[in-house]
Amino acid sequence: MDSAELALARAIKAIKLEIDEQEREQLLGELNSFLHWLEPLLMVDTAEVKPVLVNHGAVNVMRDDRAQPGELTALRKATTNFDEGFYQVPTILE
Amino acid sequence: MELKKPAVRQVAEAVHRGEVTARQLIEEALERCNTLNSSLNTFVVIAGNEALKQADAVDAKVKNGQKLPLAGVSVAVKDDFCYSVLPTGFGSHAFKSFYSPYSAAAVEGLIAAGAVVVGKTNLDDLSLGSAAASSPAGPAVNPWAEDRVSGSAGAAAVAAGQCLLALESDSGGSLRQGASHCGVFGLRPTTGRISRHGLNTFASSFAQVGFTALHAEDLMEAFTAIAGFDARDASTAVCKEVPVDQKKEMEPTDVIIGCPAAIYNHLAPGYRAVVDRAREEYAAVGFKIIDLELDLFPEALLAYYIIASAEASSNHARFDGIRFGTAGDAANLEEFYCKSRSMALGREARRRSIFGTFLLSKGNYELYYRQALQVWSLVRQEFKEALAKCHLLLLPAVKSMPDPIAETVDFIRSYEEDFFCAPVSLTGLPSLCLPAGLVDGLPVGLQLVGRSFGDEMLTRMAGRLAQEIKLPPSGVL
Repeated sequence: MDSAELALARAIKAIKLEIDEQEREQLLGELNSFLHWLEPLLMVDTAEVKPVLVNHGAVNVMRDDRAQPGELTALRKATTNFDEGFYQVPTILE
Repeated sequence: MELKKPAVRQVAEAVHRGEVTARQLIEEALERCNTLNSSLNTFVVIAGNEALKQADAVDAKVKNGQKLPLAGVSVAVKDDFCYSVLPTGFGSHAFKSFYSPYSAAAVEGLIAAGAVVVGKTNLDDLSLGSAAASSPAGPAVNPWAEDRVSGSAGAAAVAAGQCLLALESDSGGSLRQGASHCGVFGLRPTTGRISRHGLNTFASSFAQVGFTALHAEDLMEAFTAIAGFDARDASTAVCKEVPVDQKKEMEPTDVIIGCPAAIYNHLAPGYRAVVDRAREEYAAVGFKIIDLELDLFPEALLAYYIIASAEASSNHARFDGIRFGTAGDAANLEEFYCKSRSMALGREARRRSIFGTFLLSKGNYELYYRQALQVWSLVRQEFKEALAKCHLLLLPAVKSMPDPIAETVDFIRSYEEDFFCAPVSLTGLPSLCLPAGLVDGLPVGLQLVGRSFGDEMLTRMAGRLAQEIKLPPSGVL
């Protein structure tokens, strides 16, 4: 297994997908094409350039951490199973 | 009311004057949605009684003297917006019968302004694409040519007269390319001006709420109705004062349009002629045209695809079958995850998640991802400098004709279709696509990019152009 195949196998494992051998081979070819396509980006001189971290200049505005009147009622209405302040969800694993 | 292509404001005023009821308008729109959907496939869900009930509520409010700027306006909502009244599918097999417990802020805002939702529009696999061609429901057809993709089902629905307004999302350019391919107007506002609460995004840095419509002023009516800070979306801007030069009523003679002519060379034959003609026509109206350079477009597209893939791999992690969607029986938790995720993620979503995970892995993060973030910084600087010399930038929206539906397009080639739109998404600047011409009988739009928070001025200028230049017909009616 070469390094690209190994990297692909790791990525597939990390993202938890069922992928058969045929799709795996196709994805390997596509990943190589994609990386080849990206090569011009690596040639850009970015020395001393600060990376962008958010796509807007706004300062993060946080909500006050306070319950609003009626919030609990709205939560109750959003589900059929709401008990003792908790949502009840179906069992998915035994 | 006997207007063939009424503007949103005309419709709302007619409802307020009692010339027509919202119910009558919506009944007509629903009939057209149903009649045309078998051939266009623009809607994945068409509302019935739900829309009529909303229309009745609008009529009752108007009767009680309430002023609603969008009274009786039929709106199509892209199916990546949560809407509690109709199913929300996100373009995924895993959400066929999912009802969101709440509605997106943008949907709520339009309804509060009197608009009526006539249905949810088709979209690519988890919104990944700019063609509306990879949907589990099949491609949305371009109303101008039934063998071609539309770019955006919402734009196609507007062009075909199924609705007056479409609520859209745009990350790499689907709204703008759809507007171009379908011959309508489309607005992607400044990042942060409209709440994304309730919008399923794959690329959080770039997704933006916008609209397509038959008239430039319709975009402003919708924008005004829903723009503003929303405590539920921390990325909405606490709107500072709009810059003075964006606020005042500018005449075309006050406005400088910058043309980065070198990048026009990336256009297909015929498309270049549309840009050159528009440039001449805009100058004839009085706009001052200047040449300038934007050199980083090719690299900006690559940076966009690195960052967007990385963000997709992270955002799609939530589709684990426990919180959203489910695969049913599984022998163990690992198998449950794999089955659920394989059902939720279509071909393009799988590809992007794998690319993104690869790009974020040790070694590749430094090589690709960090480099992309730095190029992003250079691109923003380049646009900032360009817009210090002019008020608007004139850019194409698409490189070439919409692809044939039957053709399987190489994924790299489909990424390259975002050449003129994705770089603008990196800047967070407002951009508007307006009809500009026909090539081989199909519409072509151009993109005007404005200064940050200059959405109003941008839309006003597009409206002036629509008045003063004989633009090609908006829509196919």
